[in-house]
Amino acid sequence: MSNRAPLIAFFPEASFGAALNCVAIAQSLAELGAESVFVCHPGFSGVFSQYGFKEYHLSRDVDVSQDETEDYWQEFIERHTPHFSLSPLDQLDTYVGPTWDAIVETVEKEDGSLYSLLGRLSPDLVVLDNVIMFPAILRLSIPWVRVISCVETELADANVPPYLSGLSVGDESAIQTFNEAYLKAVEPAWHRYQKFRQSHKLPVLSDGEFLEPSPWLNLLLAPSMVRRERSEVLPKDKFVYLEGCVRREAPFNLPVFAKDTFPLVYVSFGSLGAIDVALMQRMIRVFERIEARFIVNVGGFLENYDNVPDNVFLGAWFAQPSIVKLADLFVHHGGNNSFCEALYFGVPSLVMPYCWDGHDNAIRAVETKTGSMLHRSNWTDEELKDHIESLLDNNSMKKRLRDNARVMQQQPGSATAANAILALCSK
Amino acid sequence: MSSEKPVRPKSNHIELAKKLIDIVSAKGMSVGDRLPEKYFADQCGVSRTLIRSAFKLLKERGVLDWKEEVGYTLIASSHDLLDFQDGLPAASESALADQILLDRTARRIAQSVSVSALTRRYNVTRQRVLSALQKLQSDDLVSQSASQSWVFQTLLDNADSIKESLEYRLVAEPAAILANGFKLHQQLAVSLRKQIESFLKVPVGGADLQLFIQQDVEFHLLLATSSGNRFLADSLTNHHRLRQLPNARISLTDFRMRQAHMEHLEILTMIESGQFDAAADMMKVHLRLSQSLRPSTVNRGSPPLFK
Repeated sequence: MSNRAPLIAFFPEASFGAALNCVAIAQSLAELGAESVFVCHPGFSGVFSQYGFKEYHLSRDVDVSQDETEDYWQEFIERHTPHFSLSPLDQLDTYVGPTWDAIVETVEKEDGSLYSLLGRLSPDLVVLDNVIMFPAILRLSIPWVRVISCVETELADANVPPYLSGLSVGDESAIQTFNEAYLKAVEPAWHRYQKFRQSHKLPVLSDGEFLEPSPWLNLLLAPSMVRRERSEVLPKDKFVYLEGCVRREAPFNLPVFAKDTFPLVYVSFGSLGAIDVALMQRMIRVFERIEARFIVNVGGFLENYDNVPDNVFLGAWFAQPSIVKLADLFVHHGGNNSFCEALYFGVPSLVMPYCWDGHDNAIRAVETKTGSMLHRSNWTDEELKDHIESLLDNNSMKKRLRDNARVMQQQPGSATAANAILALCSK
Repeated sequence: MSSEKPVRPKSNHIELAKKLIDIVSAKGMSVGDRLPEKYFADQCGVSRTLIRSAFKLLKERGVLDWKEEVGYTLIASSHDLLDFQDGLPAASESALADQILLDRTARRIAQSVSVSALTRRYNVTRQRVLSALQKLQSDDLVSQSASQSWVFQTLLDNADSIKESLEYRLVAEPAAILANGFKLHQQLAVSLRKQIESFLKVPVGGADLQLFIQQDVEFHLLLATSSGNRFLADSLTNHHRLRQLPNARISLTDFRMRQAHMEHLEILTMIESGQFDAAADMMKVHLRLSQSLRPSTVNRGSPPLFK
């Protein structure tokens, strides 16, 4: 047995949530003496190194000029912004199906590069935080851990509503309709992906599935306060629940506001949400009428804003955990990382979902009385104002969340994950 | 003892005196330390004549001493400095100028603004607004357009200006180190090194972003003003002043702040040991690593977003 520190290769998907969730686990692993490296999309260049981790980039298949990329994004915004206001069912054909197709295309393009990279790195373990399997991982026969950080519904069960549906348990007819529509919408991408798997002599997955559970270890980012009752209990040696997975960030220095005693509201819909500048501007006009301080993440679109009210502060990027920790309310899109950070710091959520896991977390916030939900764009100014003010005034919810946060912070998910990973390495 | 009625000092001297105290405090200067006029003139972006006037005011208040062969030296302790600063009369146009600038960086007022609009917003006289704008104009932060409106200079708050800032610094900062007349201000370098070493001793997770930004700007100003080339020193000093303004785009991890400070110390060591070429190269590496690194891909399945 070698005495060297175990080498863990993290491979998060190209989204903030997965990337930063993995940073939290890698920080805990570093405290335990393991070495973590990140394999990532070139678009995430520098993200992991600024936390002190080595990065290895998958190669780009094609050279795309900046003009072409900007044209693509303009077209993407125009095409998809209206889709984000549709119901989860109506998003299946307009957004979910095409997105699965893009995900499969990414796997086809990048799997070869991943195979070479992992072969060269020769890690003791791969941690995959993604929604799809890359055949390279199975072909190399390296033990791998699956992180289910997107949403708990990703792992199907008779007592769990369908993934991405935004439905509640018991709504049988709607569940059946959604299941049928989902399989139909993802069918072309699913067939394309199974064909790719078969080309690498890997087994075909069940209808609509793109990723199997790991035979070694699966980590579920599902704090007990919002966890679902499953009909089939997951084996504890293979499935470990995490009570949030929050990375360490430098403390946040609050900007000066005219009324510094007002409650603090943090608003972030992630970078994708920041694309809808018109909606953000509409929300900001409502914030102006509320007795609260608002810190709003507007992504790369800061220059589109002017005449910002005195009680609103905009930024292109914030070290989110450091602000959520100080906030009295978190308005977000229902990304699982955001939802779990709100729970970890005992902050109520107002979920205004755009797509994907946002719908499932929005309904879960209502079911578990950890927040409320509102359509992302279909509201009157008074409705948005009322939602925010009633959550800020809901003292019983605040107390329950604060009590729960103390419990979560005593058993941080990042440390639980790191211990489980190291235990697997030593087997 | 003179029985003359004391003359109220000019507001720009008061303001400059406050700024000098900020610099002296930030550097952790001690009783007996010398205050080089040129360095402070470069740091504040003003003439040496103005600096002498502010030094004189500080001497009258018992903060500095002056001797023929030595020049000005510090005689007040750090605690007394704070008391002294509190005791200075407020320069109201300066406070208004700061507020206008803060509101611009928070995008609460537009890039082009009229005096009337500012008069209404701050509920003050037209004359006070004009004085505040003239103060900002003297710092090159606003200019008056042909249509009589006032236009703010481009700040480091958008992707294009940040990119251009990096391109400029990659040329100018190594050039400052390689300038013929480069001579490091030893005393200030020693003081800055101490501050950085003290920053690095803070436990992981406790790094203060505002303190880091202040020390980072101090470091880069130190090298610019040590260049011995007035044009390089002036242009870099003006540019670093923009970096000191509140900036919604700056957010650094604890790790990167420490790493950047280690790079600062390494550059200082190289300069102190006469390795100027290596220090200039290291500066380039440092600037490239200090770019704001954020994902250019935003969602699963989507291509990179260059924004």
